[in-house]
Amino acid sequence: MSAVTVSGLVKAFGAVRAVDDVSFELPSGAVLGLLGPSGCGKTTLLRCIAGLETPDDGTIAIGQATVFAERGRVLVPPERRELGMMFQSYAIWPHMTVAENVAFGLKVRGWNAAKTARRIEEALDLVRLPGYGRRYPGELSGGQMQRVVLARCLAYHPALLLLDEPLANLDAHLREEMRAELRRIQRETGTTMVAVTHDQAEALALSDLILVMEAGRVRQAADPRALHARPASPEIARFLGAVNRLDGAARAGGLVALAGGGVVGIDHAQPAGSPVVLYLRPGDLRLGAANGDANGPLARVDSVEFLGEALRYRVLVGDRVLVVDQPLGGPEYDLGADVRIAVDGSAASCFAA
Amino acid sequence: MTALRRFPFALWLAFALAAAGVAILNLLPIAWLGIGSLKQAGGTLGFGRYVELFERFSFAGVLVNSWIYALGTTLLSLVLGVALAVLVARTDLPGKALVRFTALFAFVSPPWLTAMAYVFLASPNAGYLNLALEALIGVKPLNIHSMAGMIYVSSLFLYAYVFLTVEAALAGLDGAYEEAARVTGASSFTVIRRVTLPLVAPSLIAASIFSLIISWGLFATPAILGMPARLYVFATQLYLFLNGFPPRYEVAAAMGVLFCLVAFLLGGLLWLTRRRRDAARFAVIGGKGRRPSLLPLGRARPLAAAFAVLVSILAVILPYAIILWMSLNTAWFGGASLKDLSFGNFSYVLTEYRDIWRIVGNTLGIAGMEAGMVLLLAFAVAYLARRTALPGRTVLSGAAYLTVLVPGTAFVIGVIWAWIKSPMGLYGGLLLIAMAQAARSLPLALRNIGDGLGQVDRSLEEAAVICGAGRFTRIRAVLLPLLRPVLLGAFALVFLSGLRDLNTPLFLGGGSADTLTLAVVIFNFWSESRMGESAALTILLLGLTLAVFLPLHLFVRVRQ
Ligand SMILES: Nc1ncnc2c1ncn2[C@@H]1O[C@H](COP(=O)(O)OP(=O)(O)OP(=O)(O)O)[C@@H](O)[C@H]1O
Ligand SMILES: [Mg+2]
Repeated sequence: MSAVTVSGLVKAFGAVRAVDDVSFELPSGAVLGLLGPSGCGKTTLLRCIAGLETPDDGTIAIGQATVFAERGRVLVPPERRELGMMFQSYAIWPHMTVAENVAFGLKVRGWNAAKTARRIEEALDLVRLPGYGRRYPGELSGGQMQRVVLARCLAYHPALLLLDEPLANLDAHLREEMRAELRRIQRETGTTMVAVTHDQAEALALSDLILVMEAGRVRQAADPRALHARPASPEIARFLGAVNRLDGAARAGGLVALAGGGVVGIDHAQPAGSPVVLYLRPGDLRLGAANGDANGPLARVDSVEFLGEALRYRVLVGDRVLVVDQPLGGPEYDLGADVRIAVDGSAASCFAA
Repeated sequence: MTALRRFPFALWLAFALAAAGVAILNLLPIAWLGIGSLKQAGGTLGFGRYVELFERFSFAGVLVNSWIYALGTTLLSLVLGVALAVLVARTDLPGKALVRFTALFAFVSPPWLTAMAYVFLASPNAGYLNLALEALIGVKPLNIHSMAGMIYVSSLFLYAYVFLTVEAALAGLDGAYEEAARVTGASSFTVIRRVTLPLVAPSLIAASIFSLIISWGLFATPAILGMPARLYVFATQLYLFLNGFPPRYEVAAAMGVLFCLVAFLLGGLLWLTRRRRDAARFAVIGGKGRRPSLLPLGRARPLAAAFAVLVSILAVILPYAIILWMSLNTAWFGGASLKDLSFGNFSYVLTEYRDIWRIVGNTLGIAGMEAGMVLLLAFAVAYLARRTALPGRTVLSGAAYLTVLVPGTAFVIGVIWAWIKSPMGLYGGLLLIAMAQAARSLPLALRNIGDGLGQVDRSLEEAAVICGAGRFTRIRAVLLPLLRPVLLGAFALVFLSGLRDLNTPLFLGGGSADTLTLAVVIFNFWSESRMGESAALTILLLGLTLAVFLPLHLFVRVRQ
């Protein structure tokens, strides 16, 4: 059974089509990641599902119920859609204690005091904030506030949880911790989630299904592994971190002859003779000695940065810059040195040029 | 999808009620002001009254006086108010609390108090300052019963309005702009002149235009200072029209219309400048919340401090001291010796004067009704305008703001025209006075509450929607508690200015004893030259003001 079904959804602000003909289906208990560059319409799509924006066209169903159908034939107001939402700005009510914040949705539903108290405790335990009920939001850290918001959403067991950049305001360390926490809570409660993010690592880690959006449209819908291995377009490949572009020509047997010299084998064959482009992440390239037997083109070292676990080289192949992350412990090269690039063809995304 | 179906019925109902409220309070009197001015002798409609105004009542002279008075007051208020605002908000001036407190106090204390005090201080024959100067240098140079005197005293009240407006704008300014200028090596004075003031230009323009309009509506000061010297401006001339025999309501309306037209013109200009700056506004008011470092005054610091203290003394301390002195003084025009002091004036007004408690009751009743109406209506209009997409919401809030552009005394003429013959018998009652005062204070409250609403992040309400709360629950459980300090502040402001309003009950009461308020009685005492009683009642009113203000102030402080 699908928890959310969206089809042909359109939402325009004046001339800007913020959401443009978006369709997807999300099975119950799964996590959908909405990924895309800033301004591509992720938040707008989420707010349409929540009912905070009224779409111009399309349909939205949550569970069995249609909550929006085109041209106002059905429009269920947000307060009756039975969902939870985490706002990017937390949106914790500063005049209520943590417990009152969490209890709000229960009060609205007319729960009695005993049942409410029990559920508040459960929810705070779930987000690992037991005993924080009497505090005011001003007395919490950023990560704790985030947990309160989560507890507030989960207290009334919504069928669907919407998250708008749930981890954006946290520092790197806390972010990773909360990401694991979110995943744990999601598994324990079996809540269906739609999470907006523009961080690809976050999307890959959290989601069962990822929609990559661009300018309001869905460019690719895939599970994280498939997306990582086979981005549908050069733009998506670049967005997912494959910033290095190598031109070449396909040969028989799944080989590609590179423009700067060298031949690499790739996983997805293209018709022999056709021009192709390869996109690769910095970690999928290595530098070797210029007279070595690496499979890629010759290059010259232009700059080098120390990243901690690796050295990041920028090298020039002709006038094109490639970025190479060389793990520590391997050979190191000086500025201006001539090197030969080793290309991990199995990690390359290959497109017809 | 039609607009009707897109919004729930309850929202339309709220809109209709708010619109009806605004129409009755604001639009009806303004419309009637226009209609009244067109009623000619013999019952026909035309511009006869306007002609009469110029031909029979030497209106040109009043016009010239009014402009000199209004422009002079505005200019002096701007100089004082802006200088103090910059000093307080942007520099290391010592004693800022005193300046803020003085301004707040000057703003809520009755303008006639300052005028009366300066009559005691600087009237040409018996003013204390004149007597003192005569002893020193042999002449009595001061004459408060003059145009210069009127402008000076009015500015001591109006500067507070400028100060409060401009200081608020300056406080919201991102300090990075000034810091960037200082890093280039500019002196504090250059930074203020070239960076700070241009950045708040919109609020400077707004403050000047509103000061101009407010000065046209000022009645008490020109009445107390100008009328004895036969110096008439717009408001006092209106008073003469209404109190003459027979009362000339039509001519009064015609004069009101003329002043409104100029005000509308200025308001239109202001609106144009506002629209142009809106795009840039967000760049200036940053949300970072970082306090900018203060500009050092250097060697000018003692001088600036002296200036600030002087304004406090002249605007609040000296007038209140004098009024207190006069209230305790039973000798005619204030004997100068301590043995004349007694509580005679107080015991007279409290025990012998006719129904003083009824008068106090009227005063509180009017202010209470006014504050109730204003708060309800201002919240409704602000909410509908900012939190719904109803068509017509902009028109609604525009109509609610409209009285800002109508000089106070002109508006009262409109109220008289609108209700004098109404079958409901509102005319001559407390409710109508409260309604007229409410219309006057609606814009201020609307602005405060609207700004407050603007500062409540939308997602706080959206989070409540998502939790399943309907609109009513959202307002009750989220919005109102968050707005409590703003609402209490607006209440205090409206209630306090309601307590001391003179024009409205004086013009609308029709001399009836049933609608007397403290302000009117004080003015009547004054007109009968019973200055001690007048001063004693003023002190009583001050006590009433503090009794309301201090608990509210403490309550808000404690809650935060
Ligand atoms: N209320 C609005 N009025 C007008 N345009 C809007 C409004 N909300 C969003 N837009 C426009 O719609 C487009 C999509 O905005 P949206 O907020 O959905 O982007 P986003 O993908 O969430 O971006 P980000 O990652 O920066 O949050 C943008 O071009 C934005 O300018
Ligand atoms: Mg967004």
